[in-house]
Amino acid sequence: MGSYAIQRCLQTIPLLIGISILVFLLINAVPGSPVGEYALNPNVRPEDIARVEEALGLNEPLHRRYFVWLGNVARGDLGESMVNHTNVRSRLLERLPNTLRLTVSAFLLSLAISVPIGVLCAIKRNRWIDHVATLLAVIGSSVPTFWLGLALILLFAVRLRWLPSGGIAPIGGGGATDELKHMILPVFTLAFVQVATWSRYVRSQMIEVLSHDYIRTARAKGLRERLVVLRHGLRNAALPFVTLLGLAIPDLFSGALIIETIFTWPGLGRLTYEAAVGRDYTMVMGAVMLGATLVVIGNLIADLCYGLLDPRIRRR
Amino acid sequence: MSHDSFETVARRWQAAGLSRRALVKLLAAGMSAGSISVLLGDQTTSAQDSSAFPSGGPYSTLEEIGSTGGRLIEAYWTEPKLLNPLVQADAISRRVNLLLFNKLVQPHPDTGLPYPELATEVPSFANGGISEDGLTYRFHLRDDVIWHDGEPFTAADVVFTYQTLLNPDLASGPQGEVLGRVESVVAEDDYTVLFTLTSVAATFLINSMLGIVPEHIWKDVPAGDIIAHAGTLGDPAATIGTGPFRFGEWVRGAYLTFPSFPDFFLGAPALDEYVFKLVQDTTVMASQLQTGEADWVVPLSSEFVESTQNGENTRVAIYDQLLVHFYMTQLREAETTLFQDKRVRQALAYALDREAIEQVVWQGFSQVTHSSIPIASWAYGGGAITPQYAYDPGRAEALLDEAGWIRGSDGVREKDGLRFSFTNWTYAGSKQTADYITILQQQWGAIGIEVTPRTEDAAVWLDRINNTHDFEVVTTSYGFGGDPDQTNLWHSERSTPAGGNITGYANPEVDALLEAAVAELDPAVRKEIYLQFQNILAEELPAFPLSNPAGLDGLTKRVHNVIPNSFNPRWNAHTWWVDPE
Repeated sequence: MGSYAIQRCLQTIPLLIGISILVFLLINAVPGSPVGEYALNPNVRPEDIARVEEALGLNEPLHRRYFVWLGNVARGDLGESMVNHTNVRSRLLERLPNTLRLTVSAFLLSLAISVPIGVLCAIKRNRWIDHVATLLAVIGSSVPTFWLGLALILLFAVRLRWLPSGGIAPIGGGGATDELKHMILPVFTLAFVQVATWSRYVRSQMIEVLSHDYIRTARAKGLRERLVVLRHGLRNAALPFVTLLGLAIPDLFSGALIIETIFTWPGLGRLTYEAAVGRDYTMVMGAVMLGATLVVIGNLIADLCYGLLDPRIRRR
Repeated sequence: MSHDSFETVARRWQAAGLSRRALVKLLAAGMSAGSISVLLGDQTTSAQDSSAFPSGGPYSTLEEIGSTGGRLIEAYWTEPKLLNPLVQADAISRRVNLLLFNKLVQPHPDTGLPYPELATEVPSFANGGISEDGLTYRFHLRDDVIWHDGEPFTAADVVFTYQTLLNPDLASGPQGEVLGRVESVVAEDDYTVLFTLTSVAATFLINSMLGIVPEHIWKDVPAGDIIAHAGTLGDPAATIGTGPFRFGEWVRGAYLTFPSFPDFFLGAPALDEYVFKLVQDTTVMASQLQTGEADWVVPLSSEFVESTQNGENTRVAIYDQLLVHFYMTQLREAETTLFQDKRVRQALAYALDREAIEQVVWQGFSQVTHSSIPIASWAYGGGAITPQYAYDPGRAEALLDEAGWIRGSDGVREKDGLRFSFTNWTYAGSKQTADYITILQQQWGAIGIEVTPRTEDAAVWLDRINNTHDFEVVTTSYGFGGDPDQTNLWHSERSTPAGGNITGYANPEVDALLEAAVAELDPAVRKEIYLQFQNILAEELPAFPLSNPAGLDGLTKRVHNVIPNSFNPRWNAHTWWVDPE
């Protein structure tokens, strides 16, 4: 297990370098530049645009720019935004906790709701509780996220005035209760869709597992139903579910772009998107590489968890 | 039409000397508030004395200040980037910097002509401020201005600001209007500055006026480092200006706060604090007006105008905008030969029912226009422009036949084996341009032209129209500054890659007129030159102006003296006030 972990860790470095080269080539291949919007300004002349591009280092050859960037990254310097000249690393570190707050809360909330619901529906298959849950799941998967977010804002913020309609905190800062209020709607919107899919998955996995022979054996042994379902049933059903969760890890870090836009949540998703649209090369590289690194680490952890859950994998 | 907007329009109507009865008749006949507001642009220009502090005009009539204190929240869809007039590049940064910094002279909100801000009067021939040869400008400065950190403002700050702008190491976009224009700037004493220009420029008093920054903060910073300095990125100790509000806090991705500056030279501002808030969805913006989480929403999407106008606590401000929507045809022969014949370009114009299109695209909040110069500008030719293109599809068809484009068997016109078929490009994200390209496809299709409408990502589209020039027709809006100069769009020297001449239009007569207009300091003569320019463009049609939409801002009723307008929305920021809690 130990050598497996070390091997996986070492593999990540060439992987990340490869990703960075790919992203760098991609973002520079797309037409456009960080100073593109100057062109529609009636007072800016071509020589002014040229001067700004020169100062940003955009006239250097591609490979030289990449290696300069790589060298800086090795020293921990992610550079300056080409659009607003702020420090890229500071910007990213500022936004990361906001994104995590949103996505991890939604993740845990979804987990806490979908697993019990999934199990319950599997046990009480085709009873009324299953039908209600199915209906809600279908709604949850069909409703577009932006529509749900806007509908919740219109109901809870505009009509009822119970909750704020956006932002991470009130202007001028606020206490923990204020910040919690600001989190409710975006986390709920994000979780709603996740619960819809995950609960169905858990349900179908449980149904499948509960039909296996070893479950019959456990029951025949006289074990309490609850132990049968949880220790023997759920533990086995969890394996493919953990795979699903592992696939959801990238979403934790890329943030939920649509939610962040609707609720004006200052997260990584919006930062990356705006940087890409604005051709802010340094910011895009920084944001994407941060995301890639976290995803790679997250997947590594998920794989190691797999080993913990399933002794058969451990023995390899 | 609700009570509020009627009042605004009625006041303007009366200011122009016309009876309310006449206004009501027009409204009954179906004209919208927007088109009436825009109509009035012409009549109010002459009534203003542009060297005095604005008052009594459509955008300069203020209420008495009823209460002091409180906070005003403005919501915008994107953040500013650089809080320094030396390097500001985007419109939002400029908008925010207007609160923090002042210029020597600034545009009058009604006319767009300069009136004094940090200077005591606008230099002119009459007062000796402009030399006989038009090359030197002498500004006398106010002696009662204080920087946010308590230091006194003097001529040294003006000299420092402009010398930095003249320094190529600064590498910023706004330098353009100073680098090519100003030869030298010198302080004659603590409150007098002398500018020497490289050539006569009527645009100097509008385009070359930028916010003044404090020498004592910036003098030891190398020019190349200014753009990334803490003072540019937001630091209460270094982001220092003379404006009515000072920099407080910037929570990136969320909001900026600006406490008021009690020692502002025109008097302590009525508000305690001004907040600039980021809200990225248009529906949420309109909702925040209803809940009071925002007081001023810019812009208000047209689908929310009615609900905001009828809201209990909200209203809509309609104003003339310096914005024109065009379609532009490719005139570079190497790219396409479709539009080389003037008759073809005129036919495309006759084929469009612009009045009907306006109703669909703008729901009445817009005015059909005949010029690339915005209607609110003093240089707009209006009725004097000829020719004007009323909807005449018959004439369009006749012109195309005459030019040799005959309908083929599939209904699409052909000439010498070439089909009249092209792509009309626009940028993604604007509902209006998307509507335009669809409608244009239909109306041009009716006269036998096959058009493919396409939208694409804004950055890619900008690259296409400015660098690669790989297009036949583009549809776009174009925002103009206060001065009517349009050299960037139409001068033949600007049609190189990265130049602003999108169509590749090259007419020596127009080049000469543009250059003459910039060098002409007599406003009456300058207006004449622009009329000739507009007439040539109307005849030749390198691009066809579709409309001049009105600006729509949402406001809450607790806010007073906020008068959105295109020339100068911040001129009276120190008089903005809000109802007490």
